[in-house]
Amino acid sequence: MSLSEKIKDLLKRLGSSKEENAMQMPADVQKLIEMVENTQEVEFSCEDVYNILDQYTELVYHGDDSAELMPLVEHHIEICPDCREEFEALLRILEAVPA
Amino acid sequence: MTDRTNEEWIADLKSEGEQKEAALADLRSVIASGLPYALSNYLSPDNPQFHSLAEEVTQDTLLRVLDHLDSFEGRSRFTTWVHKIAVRIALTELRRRRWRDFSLDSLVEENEDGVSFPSLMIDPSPNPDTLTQQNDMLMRIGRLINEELTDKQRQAMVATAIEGVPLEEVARRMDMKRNALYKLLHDARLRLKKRLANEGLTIEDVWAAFDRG
Repeated sequence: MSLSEKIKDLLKRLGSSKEENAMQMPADVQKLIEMVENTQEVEFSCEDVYNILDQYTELVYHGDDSAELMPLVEHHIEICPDCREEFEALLRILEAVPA
Repeated sequence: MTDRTNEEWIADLKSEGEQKEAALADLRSVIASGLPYALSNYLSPDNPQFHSLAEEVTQDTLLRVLDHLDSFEGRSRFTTWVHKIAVRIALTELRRRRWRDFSLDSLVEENEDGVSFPSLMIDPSPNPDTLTQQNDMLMRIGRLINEELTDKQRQAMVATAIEGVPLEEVARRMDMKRNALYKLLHDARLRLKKRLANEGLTIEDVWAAFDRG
């Protein structure tokens, strides 16, 4: 669970009286908060990741610990939907096409 | 199709005549074999658009591979490197087609304060029925965003994070490269993170203002 999910869960379990017109956090604000929460001082850019995406994807394909070996790539893939999409496509190819 | 080592691929592609032609033909096959999997979430091979897109992508990939042969460092399999290039070219084209009609102007109109996250455009007029705790928090976040981010950063953040527009589609409309846009957004997120810390406003504080349900 992410930090915000843990907090939400804890508060739920502590119990609170539900007001009729109580307001949920809007989805876009929630998204914003999560993005800020996941931000690191140092991050790889899309170009940094693209340059070694072939290496990274092979690591993942072989079951190596990509989070430990390439933490900055791993983090970027987690937060950048476009790079994640490209990574997943490349992984599908490696898994499908015979060596 | 013959199996080549990385070195053999490079040597054959840099050679002349039949040796090179054979390598090019095999490279075409390699690219073509991967594309259905790359595009599987978007286009099926049965789709009439698939064939022409695949052909276009294969051709562009071949050219880019040949142009950048010297940049291949041998840290992965040559074919993986080639597939990576094909994926980038294919997805870039798919995104361009899918978002062809999108305009940045279509994003939520900014109010007087320039805040463009939809939920943060709160009517500040006092009303006994409104939920002051939530509205106060939203207004606080809205003001914070307004003060920390440039117009460009706000617009880019709404487009990418909220509307889900691909980075390079937003970048092109802002006359930037994708990489530069990523850095712009990273800077924006860092500013917000630091500002929240400076205000002593934690994630828990924000959550606490809203309904736990």
